[in-house]
Amino acid sequence: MSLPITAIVTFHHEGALAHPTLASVAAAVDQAAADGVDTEVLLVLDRPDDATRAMVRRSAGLVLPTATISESDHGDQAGSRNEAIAAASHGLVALMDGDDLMGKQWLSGASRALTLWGPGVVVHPSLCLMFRDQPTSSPTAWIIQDSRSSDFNFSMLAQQNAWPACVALYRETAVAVPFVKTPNAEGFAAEDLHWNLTLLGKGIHHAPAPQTSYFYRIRGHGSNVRKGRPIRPVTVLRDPEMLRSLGRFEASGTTPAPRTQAQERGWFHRAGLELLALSTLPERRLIQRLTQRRKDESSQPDQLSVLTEPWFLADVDGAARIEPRLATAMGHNYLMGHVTNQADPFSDLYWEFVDFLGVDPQHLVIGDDAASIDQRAGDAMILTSGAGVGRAAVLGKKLVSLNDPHFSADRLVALLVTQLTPATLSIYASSTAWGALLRWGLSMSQSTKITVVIRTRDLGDSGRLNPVEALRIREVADFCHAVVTETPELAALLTEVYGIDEELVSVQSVEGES
Amino acid sequence: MTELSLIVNVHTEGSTTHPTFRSIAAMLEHAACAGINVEVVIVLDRSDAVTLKQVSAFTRTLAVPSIQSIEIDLGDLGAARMEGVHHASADLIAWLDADDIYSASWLTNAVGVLNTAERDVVVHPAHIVSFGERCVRIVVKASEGSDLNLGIVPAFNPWPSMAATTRSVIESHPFTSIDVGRGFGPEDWQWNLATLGDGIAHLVAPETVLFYREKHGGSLWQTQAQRGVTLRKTALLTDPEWASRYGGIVVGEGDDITLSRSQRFAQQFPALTLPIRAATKKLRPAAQATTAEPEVVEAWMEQAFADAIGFEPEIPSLSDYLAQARPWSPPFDAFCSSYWQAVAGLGCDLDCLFVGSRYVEEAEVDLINTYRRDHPDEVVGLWCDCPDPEGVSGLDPSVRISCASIDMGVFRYGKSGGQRLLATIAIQLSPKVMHVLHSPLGLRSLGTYGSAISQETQLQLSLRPIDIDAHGAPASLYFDLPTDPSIFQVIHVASQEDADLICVTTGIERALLRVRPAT
Repeated sequence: MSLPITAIVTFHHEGALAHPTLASVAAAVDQAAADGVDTEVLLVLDRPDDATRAMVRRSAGLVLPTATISESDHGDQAGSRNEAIAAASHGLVALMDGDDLMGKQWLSGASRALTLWGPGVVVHPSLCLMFRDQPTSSPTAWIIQDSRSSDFNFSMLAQQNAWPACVALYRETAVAVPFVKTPNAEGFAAEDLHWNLTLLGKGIHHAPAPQTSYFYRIRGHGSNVRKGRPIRPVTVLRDPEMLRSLGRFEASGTTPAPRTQAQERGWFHRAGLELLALSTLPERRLIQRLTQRRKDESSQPDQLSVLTEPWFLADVDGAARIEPRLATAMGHNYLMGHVTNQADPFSDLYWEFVDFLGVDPQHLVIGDDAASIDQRAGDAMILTSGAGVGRAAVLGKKLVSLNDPHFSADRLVALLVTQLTPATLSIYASSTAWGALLRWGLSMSQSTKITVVIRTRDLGDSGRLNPVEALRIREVADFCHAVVTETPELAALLTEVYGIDEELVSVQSVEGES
Repeated sequence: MTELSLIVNVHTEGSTTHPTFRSIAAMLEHAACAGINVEVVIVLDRSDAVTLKQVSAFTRTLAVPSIQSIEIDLGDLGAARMEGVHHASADLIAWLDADDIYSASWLTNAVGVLNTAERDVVVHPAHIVSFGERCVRIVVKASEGSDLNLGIVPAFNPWPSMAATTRSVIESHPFTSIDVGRGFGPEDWQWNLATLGDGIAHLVAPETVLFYREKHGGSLWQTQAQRGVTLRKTALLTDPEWASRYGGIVVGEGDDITLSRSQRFAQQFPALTLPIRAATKKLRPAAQATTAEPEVVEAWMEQAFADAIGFEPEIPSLSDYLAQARPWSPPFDAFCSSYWQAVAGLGCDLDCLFVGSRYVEEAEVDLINTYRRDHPDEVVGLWCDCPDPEGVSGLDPSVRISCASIDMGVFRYGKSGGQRLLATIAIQLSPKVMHVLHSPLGLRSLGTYGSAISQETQLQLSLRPIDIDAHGAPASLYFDLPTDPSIFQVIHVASQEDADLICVTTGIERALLRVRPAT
C-alpha cells in the first residue's frame, strides 16, 4: 500500500504553457488512482500575470476540477513552495514548475518509492527529457543518478547539479529543510541546486523513482538570468569529509583529452542521429543500433537503452498527446545529456583547492605571477598562470597554479570564493580573477571583502589598464571594499578617468621586489 | 542670448556617466571658444542614487552660465526628452544620452550646419564608433547629397538617436513615448521617419564622432528587439511614390541571396548548423584582404580618438577600427524590395490581407475566392513569403497579389528578417483583417509581433486539416508554432474533430474556433 501524495505546481508567468502542465498532472492523477494511490493537487499562483491566472483557472476547471488554487505574493519560488508544503494535507509532497510536464507514472511511482525507502531519501524522476520550443531541435535525455549507488562519485558535485528541480519527498523532510530565498540582489543562483546539496549535507540521499519520467521545457529566451551563477555556501561543498562519508569520492586522476566545444555540446552525436533518422530503417530500431554501437565502442554503461524501454515510450506517447512538440521527438532524435558519473578536472581542481586553502581562509590573493605578489600580503594564493611558481613555493605559502585551459577557470575562482568565503580577497592583474569579478562579483562580495590592486606595471598606453577586463573597473567598484594603487598618479588616474570614488582608492607600496 | 539648449537624458547609467560628463564638459568648452552660448538641461528619469550622486557632482563643476537638473518619474525616454524641451529656452536644441562619449566638436559643428541650412534640418554626427561588447565603425550618410539609398528606411535606421535641430522641428514632431509593452519601437527610428516624411533633411555635421557604448550583456534596444518591436504606421512608409521608386531595388547585389554550399547543407540538416559553423570558422581565412586603397586618416579623427580614449580607456584605438573593413549596413536589399513591392502591389486601402507561403492549396484559393464573392465592396490582397508561389492561378483576378522577392522562409532571412518584413507590411498597410493561411512565416511573425499588429487589424488564422502521424500523435502547424491565442479573433479549422483536438491540446477557448464549411 503506497502513501497518499500531494502534487504542488507553482506558476508565475507561464501563460498558455500552464495548460499542458495541468493536463499532464491530470493524467498522472488518473494513473495514481488506478494504482490505488490517493492524491491531492495544489496549484500556487505566485504574483501571476492575468493571462496565467485565467489560463490556470480555465484549464484546471477543464482537466483538474478537484485541484485547490491559491495565490501568494512572495515573488520567489522558495517562498511559494514552502507555503504550499505547509498547506499540503498528505504525508508526501511532489514539487514541479508550471511549464514542465510530468510523466503519467510520476506520482504513483514516487509514492511507491518513498513508501518503500522511507524518509531518508528524496526521489526524482528517473529520466528527464529536456525539450525546446523550436520544433527542429532535439530533446536532451538526462538520466538521473542515485546517490546511494556505489558508482555515484560525490566529487563531481562541484561541477554540476545532478538532480532536477522536480522532486518528491516526505512532507516532514520538506518542513525540516525548507527552501531558502535567494534575493536577486545578492547575485546567487536560484534555490534548487542549493537545496539539493543542503539535503545531502543532512545525510538525505537523492534517488530516481524507477520508471518515472519528466519533461522539462527550455524556453527560448528570458527565462533564466541566474543561469551559471554560483550558489550560496553549502556544507557539502565546504567539507569534503562529509561527502567522503556518504560514499565514493574519487578524483579523475588524469586530465582527460581536451574536448572541442562541439563535443562538449554533443553536436556530432545529435547530428549523427539526425542523419541516420533520414534512412528508411524504423526509428526505434535505430536507437537500438546506436545503443549497441556505443556499448561496443566504450566501456561506459549502456545508458541509451533506457530510451527504448516500453514504459518510457508509453510515457512519451502520452506526453506527446498533451504537448505535440514532443511528438516530433518521438522515436529518434534524442541527444544524450549529462552522464554524471564521470569525474572531471574541474571538480578535481576544486577539491584540491579546498584541501590547500581550507574553509574560511583569512586572506586570499589571486594573481597571474607569483613574483609580483607581496610576500607579506596573505596566507593563501591562487596563481592563474604558471609563471613564478618556483619562487612562490619558496615563500612557503599555500599555492596552487590554475593553468588548465580546458574548463572555465573564472567559474572555478567564483565557486571557490563563494564557498570557502575568505575574509578578504586581493585581486592582482589576472584575467581569470577579473573575469570572475565582472560576472559574479556581486555574489563573491557577500561574505568577502574584495580589494583590487592596480600597480604601475598594469598601466598600458593612453591610460589603459591591463588586463583588458580591468578597463571595466567601474562596474566592480560598487561591490569592492578597496582599490589599492602604488602611486598618487595612479590613484589620480583611477579617480579622474575611471571615476572611482576617492574614498575607495588608497596608495600603498605593493610591489614585493622593488 | 542662449543659442543652444543641450538636453542630457539620464536614467540609471550609474558610474558610466563619469566619462560621458567629462566629454560633455570638453564639448561645452569647445562651443564656448567658438562663441556659442549653451545651456544644459539634465533630465533624470527614475535615476538611482549612484547616478544622482555622479550627476550632481558634475553639475557643480560644469562652467556654463545656465544648468538645470530636472528629476521626473516617467520611465519613458521620449517623454523625458519632451520634458527637457519644455525646460529649454534656446531655439536650437541638441539631445544626447548619458553613457556615450562625444567628440568635442559635436555641438559647435552641429550649430554651424543648423545656422547655414536654409530650411529645417536635423543634424547627426558624421561617424559612429561603437565600443564595449561590439566594436564597429560606421560612416553616417546624409539624406541628401550622399550615396545613401533612402529605400532602406523600412529595414534599417540610418541615423543615430542623438541629434540637433531647431525648436520648430520638435514642436511639429514631438518625441513619442516608447510602447514596448504593445510591441512598438524604437522611437528614434520612428521620429527620423516622421521628420524625413515631412521633407526635413537629415544632415551630418562634419568632423564629429559619436562613441557609442554597446553595453556588456545587452542594451535596452537589444532587450526590446528580442521581444520583437516594430515601427508604428508612418506616412512615409506607405507613400506610393516611394514605393514605385524603391520597389525595383535590385535583389542579389552582393551576396544577398546566394547561399554557400555549407549554408544549403545546414538548411537541409538543421542540427548540423552549429558544427558546420564551428568547423568552417577554423578554415575561413582570417580576413579578406581589401583591395581598396588604405583609408586616409585625417588629423581631426586621430584627435577625436585620443580625446575619447582619455575619457573612456575602454574605447579601442583608431588603428583597431581601421583594420576591420565592414559594409556600411547589412544587406537589406531583399527586405526593402519586397516591402516596397508590397506597398505598390497591395495598396494602402486593403480591407483583407491573406498571407500564404510557397504552395497555396486549392482549398485556400477557394477560401479567398469565397471571401471575395461574399465581400464584393472590399479590397482583398494576398501576400506570399516566396516569389512565384504555386496554386494561385485559380484566384479571382480582382485579388491583388504581391510576393516577397526571395524565399523569406529560408535560412538567411527566415528567422527574423521575414518575420519583421511581414509585420512591417501588416502594420503599415493596416488592413481591417489579416488572414494567415498555411504559412510558417506568418505564424512566427504573429508569435513575435502579433500584439502590435492586432492593435489595428483583426487577426484570423486558417489551419489545414490535422494529420495524425504513425505514432498516433497529431501534427499541425499550430502545434509546431504555438501562438498566444488571444490575439486572434477567430481560428478556422477543417473539421469538428480538429476543433476538439486543438481545444484539448492547447486549452484555448472553444468559442475562438470555427469549423470551415466543407467545399
